[in-house]
Amino acid sequence: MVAAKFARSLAACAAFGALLAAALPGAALRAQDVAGPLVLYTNDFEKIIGPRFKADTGRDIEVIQMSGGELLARIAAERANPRWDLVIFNGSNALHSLDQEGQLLRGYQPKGVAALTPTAKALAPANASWQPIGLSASCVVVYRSDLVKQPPAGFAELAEPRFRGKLGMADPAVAAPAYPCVAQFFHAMGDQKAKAYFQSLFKNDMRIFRTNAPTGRALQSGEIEMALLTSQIGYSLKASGAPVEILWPAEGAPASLRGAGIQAATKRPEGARAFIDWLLVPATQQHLADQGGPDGLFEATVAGVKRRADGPPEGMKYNVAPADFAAANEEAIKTWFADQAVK
Amino acid sequence: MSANDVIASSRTPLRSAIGAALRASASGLSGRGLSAESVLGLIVVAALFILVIGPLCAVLLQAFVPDLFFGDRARGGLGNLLELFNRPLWQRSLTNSLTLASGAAVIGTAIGVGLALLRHSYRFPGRTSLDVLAWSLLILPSFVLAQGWILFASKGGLANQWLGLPFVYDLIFSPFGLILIMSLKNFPYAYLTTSAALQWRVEDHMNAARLCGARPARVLRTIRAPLLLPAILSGAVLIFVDSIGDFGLPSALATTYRFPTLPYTIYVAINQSPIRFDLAGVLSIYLTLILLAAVTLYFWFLRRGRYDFLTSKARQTSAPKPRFAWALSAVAAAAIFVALVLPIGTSWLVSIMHDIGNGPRLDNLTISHYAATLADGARMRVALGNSLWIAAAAGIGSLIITFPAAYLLTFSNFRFFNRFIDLACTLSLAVPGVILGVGYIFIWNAPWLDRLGLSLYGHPFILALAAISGAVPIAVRIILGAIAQVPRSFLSAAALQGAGLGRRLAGIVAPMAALALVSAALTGFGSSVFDLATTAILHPPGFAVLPVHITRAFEQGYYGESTAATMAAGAITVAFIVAAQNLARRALRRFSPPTEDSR
Repeated sequence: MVAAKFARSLAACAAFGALLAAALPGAALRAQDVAGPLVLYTNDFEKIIGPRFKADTGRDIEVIQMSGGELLARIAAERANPRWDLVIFNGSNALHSLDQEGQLLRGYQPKGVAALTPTAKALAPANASWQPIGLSASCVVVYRSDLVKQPPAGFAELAEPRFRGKLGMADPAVAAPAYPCVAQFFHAMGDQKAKAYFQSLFKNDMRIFRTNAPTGRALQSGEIEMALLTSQIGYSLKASGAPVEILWPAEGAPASLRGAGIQAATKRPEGARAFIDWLLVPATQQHLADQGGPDGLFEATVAGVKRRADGPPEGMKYNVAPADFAAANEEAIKTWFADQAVK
Repeated sequence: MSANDVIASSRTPLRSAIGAALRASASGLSGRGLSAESVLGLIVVAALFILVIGPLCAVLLQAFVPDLFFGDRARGGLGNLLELFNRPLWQRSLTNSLTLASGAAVIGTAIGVGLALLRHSYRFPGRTSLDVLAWSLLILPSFVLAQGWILFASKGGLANQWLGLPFVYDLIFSPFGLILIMSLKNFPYAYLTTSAALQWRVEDHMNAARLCGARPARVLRTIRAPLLLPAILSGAVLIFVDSIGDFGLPSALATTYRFPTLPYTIYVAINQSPIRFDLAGVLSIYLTLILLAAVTLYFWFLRRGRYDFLTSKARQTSAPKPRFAWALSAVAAAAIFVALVLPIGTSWLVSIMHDIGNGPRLDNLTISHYAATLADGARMRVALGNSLWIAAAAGIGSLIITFPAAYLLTFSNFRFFNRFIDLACTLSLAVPGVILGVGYIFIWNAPWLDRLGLSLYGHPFILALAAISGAVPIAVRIILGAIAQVPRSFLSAAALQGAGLGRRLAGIVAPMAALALVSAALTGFGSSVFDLATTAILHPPGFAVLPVHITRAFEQGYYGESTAATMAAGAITVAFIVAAQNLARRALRRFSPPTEDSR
């Protein structure tokens, strides 16, 4: 009798719990999280992430956009008392460094991890401290088709005297995607050959601009005739009607991997995991691609995302310098590059 | 009693004794403990320490103890200081920074002093507009001017596309062009310091020289210029200091490796991953040392000569109207056009056009950029509202600190404190905002402050604090200029009658410097609306700020939106400043007792 009463009470409690869970979606998920919105530090997509994430998951997220350098400086300065829950950064080298410093939560396998493309799977870190969410060329050769009558066939030709003073690129010490470009040359060619290559470009009066945006402006205005630009800016220029063509070498272009990670000591772990899950949903990446403007011109890392018509065609080869190589050599390469460039 | 009478009468023995008594009471400890001035001095020093010195030291210390704030003090030492002698980038940055700051100091001082001499030596139509020009340039941040110059002088810009002047590109985007534009941006320091000194003319010396047959040029060279030397040097030092710490103009106008500067190299150090705060700290130490050297040189110059030339014969300037007044008006108009109208006018043109490349055609005009900026719920509008509130707090906050600071600098004899106050009030000009921002995070994000519930980082209030530190250098100089004209004997008399410090400040100094106090607060307000460097790194979650949005839109190539937001915010700021100043003038006139002239 008593046992039956107890069983009935238990069933009633279970039913009430189920009803409560159905009525308050996400309540169980948020159980571990402290109150307040998630805080995301990112260097792009700042306008479109918040509203869509809220619509899809019902969660609030505050997005702080900064340039790559400011973002890393803020994270580093906050190290004693981090204020962020999530980071999105275009450059696997920086994410690797954050992981090495113990700033990223390791071991979380998102729900959509199985849907990652083979390329993305190969580039994702083994310890799952961050997840790849987009791939783009960190430098392709973009040239003015009206000014360059005999375009180069590959990167090597950029050092030819006929292109003296006509080439420009973003500063790898400041522009987040420019370092993965230089790092890939060092990785692919080896230290000595890469140094010799860039020295030949400097001798050919290569111009260095602060970031990719002013480099693109200089190309558009005819200040320079060719540029090593990100595929996003290159294809955006072309789509806007500027007289430019893009050279994507058959052996592939240096590429930059955008990734997302969770702060190691986040006080909102459930919400943060839900955000990473959300980023690996094809519909989310489709939204970022369609609504992200130039930043949206990326190669999705999950299957099922429709390619943008104004972006790189299918079949392009992306060469990403391994994150550990790029991170380990970052200071040496940037220092060498900067010191050579001022000589 | 006029100010001149006061100066004359204060030379009598009795008044001198009273003055000495006042100075003695103000100079430190009295028999019963700390004097009111000492307490005020300590409060001002503490406030400046919190706002400027503390955050800056937090970064400078990184040079020696890189992980000071993270509990790991294993690394450290002095090795990084010597990097300067090994790194070509650092050496080039140092020489470039010195070249840029010295060049801007020379050219900017020449422009500022020249315009100030014209402004105060002759009466001509439009001469007061030079004052407006000077204040506008001081308030405008360098990134807004840089954007204007880029839109004007780049190969796709107005000068080349519309006016067919391709040489403008080569002129502006060169080291000399950078020095020139930096001079045009910073000459107001020399203009304002010289203008303040030219308020008083010592006719005796000049009459004597003229009687001896000296021509006006010789009178200027041998009498006026030497007497103006402290003001000129003060202006030159301020131009030097502001130019050497500027990141916005050099990074925008000079292709980085053609002309890297120290602030740029600091930026490079914090762009590395893992980040090198220690290198940023070392470079900031060099910047601070250069600043100290410049200020020390300035004081050394002042000590070499005697400049207490004001006598009872000094008269306030009353300038004659020359026959060639039109020519002087033309010079003033040219200065306004080149320094302000060209860059800001270009930004305005871009803000009302679909595409600047399509030229000045009627069907190219649009107000859509403004509509998008000011639309209900638009991010720019929200950001503008937030920035205006922060700026208002900065205006009031900077006044609360700089008013007592200027009083102490003028009337107290705290040698050490005064040097400290003067240095702290100048330092934030020379140190890049991003460095100050990092320092703020180190200090205000400390876990123990968090535990006490005192952590301001992540709260909009920290933006107001950072904005106050940015507004202090200019605000203090405005108030100093006005307080210098308050006769010390007034304060002595009040003190003898038993008026305490608060009453002397509220009853004598504040009313006599009222207009300057309003100007200082409004200048703090104006300069904070667009303050980019610190807000970029400190803005809290969910709190949009205007300069971040403007630069982001510009970087993404949305020039119309970016310039429309700049123009809209600029117009609102200027309208508020003009309205507040007029209201203040009227209020002061209403509450002031009628003077002989007004009867």
